[in-house]
Amino acid sequence: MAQREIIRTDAIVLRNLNYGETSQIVTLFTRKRGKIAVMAKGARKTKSAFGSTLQPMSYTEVVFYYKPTRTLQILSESSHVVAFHDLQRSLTKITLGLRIVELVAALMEDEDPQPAVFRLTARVLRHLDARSRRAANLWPFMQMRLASLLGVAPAVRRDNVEAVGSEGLLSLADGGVYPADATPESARTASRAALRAYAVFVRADLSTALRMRLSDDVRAEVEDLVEAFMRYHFEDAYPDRTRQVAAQLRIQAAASEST
Amino acid sequence: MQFTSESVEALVEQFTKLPTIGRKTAQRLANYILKMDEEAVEKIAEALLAVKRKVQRCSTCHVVADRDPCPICSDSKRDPSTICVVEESSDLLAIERTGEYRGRYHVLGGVISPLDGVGPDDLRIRELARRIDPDFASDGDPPPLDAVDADPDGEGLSGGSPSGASATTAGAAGDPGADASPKDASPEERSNGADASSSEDADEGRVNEVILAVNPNVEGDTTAYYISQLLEPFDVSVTRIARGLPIGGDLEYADEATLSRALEGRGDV
Ligand SMILES: [Zn+2]
Repeated sequence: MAQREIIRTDAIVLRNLNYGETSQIVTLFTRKRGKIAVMAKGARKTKSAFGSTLQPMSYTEVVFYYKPTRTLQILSESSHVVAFHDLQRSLTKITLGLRIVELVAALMEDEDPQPAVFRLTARVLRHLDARSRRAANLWPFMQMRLASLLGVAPAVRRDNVEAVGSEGLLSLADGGVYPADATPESARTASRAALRAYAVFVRADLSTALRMRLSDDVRAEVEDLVEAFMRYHFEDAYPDRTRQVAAQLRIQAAASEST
Repeated sequence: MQFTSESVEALVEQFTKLPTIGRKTAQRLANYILKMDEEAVEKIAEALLAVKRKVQRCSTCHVVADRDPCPICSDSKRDPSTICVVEESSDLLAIERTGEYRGRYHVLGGVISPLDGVGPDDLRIRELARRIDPDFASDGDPPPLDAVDADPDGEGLSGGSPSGASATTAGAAGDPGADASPKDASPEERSNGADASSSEDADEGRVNEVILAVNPNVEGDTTAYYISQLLEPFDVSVTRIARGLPIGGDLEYADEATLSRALEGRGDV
């Protein structure tokens, strides 16, 4: 019973790979059908009707014919829901945005609709496009929210955070923050500032998280903590390519932003 | 379908190693070769070997050519003060077809693609900077220089080889090198001693403009921003074509008129 069905849905473009002479295989994270790969015929022709909508990080509305027997669906239309113009104008924003879509691509299962993850991704990308100050805060925020939505919500208790002295612990197992003399499972030592910031990323809403000012040192420490937590739970599924390239690019980005 | 002949099966196997060739297409090709006369097959085999044995890369612009320097780099009528930066040799050909461009080129050998793990260290970006300023990255650490130059052949014709796996190792190993390069080549240091001695050379080979002819997509943008920031300390104007080209389209498939217009209408990165 391979019936054809026309699907119209919002989607975030996670990846595109050139295929054949002018086509592309595009991995979409769709609101209705979750992660799905589609064939976009002629997408690389300069007169393609898909235009810029199939670039990674794009927020687009797509139409495709769904046939359950096919591993690759055929994309017939795509048009921007929101065009993220600013997102593509800075090296820092591009690498942040790519890390976000890379993470979503890695942690989503094929054809497993996750509307809450979709809303989160779209919202974070919108903010990344719209703002430049402290946009880097979106990265730890995104990861902690995604972890929660995927069933590994960090158990951060306010009293424990307040009990942290100059140093404390992050339990990678439950994602909780503990004072230095506690003995939680798989603990990592971190500074008070980093643990407090971590707790904000876990508990606060997006606008609060974006208001937080972090020094470079603390930011690096928080990012390490978040990454360690994510790796502990998602293991090898946690992606690494964009991080490595971002590290090569960062020297430049940092230099240009300080001037 | 499995062929009953081992040699046909082996050929199919080899064809599937080529990009965009799946098993079905490989079988179709093998079938076709089977029906061709021997002389024609020999010509294909010779051509395949010849590109590997005769063709090299120009050591200046890194285009695929039969000699080094390539015809464009050795043509004194081509303006050496302008360098057009392209991803691959095929993009260079697309721009040459317009007949509009009279400067020189630089072939990067790919484009920065974070999702594929391809970073600046996997491309010929430092080589580009050294064409702008020979001192670039040379004060710091000699090893990264050698490391980059050591494998032009190996990396050469496989062109798009920085795939995920190889790029990952290159990235990790290249890290300290990357650190040593860009910052050390500040303009003050350049003007200190080297200026007087090399001023004639410098004037003759001086690069005034770098035109980035990378594809108008996320990878192209990333590459353009990175290069323009890298070259910021130098006295060179960095422009980008393709602002008029549709995003997502490949330069290679742009018609000549469109490409000429894009080249003419180049602007700030
Ligand atoms: Zn050359």
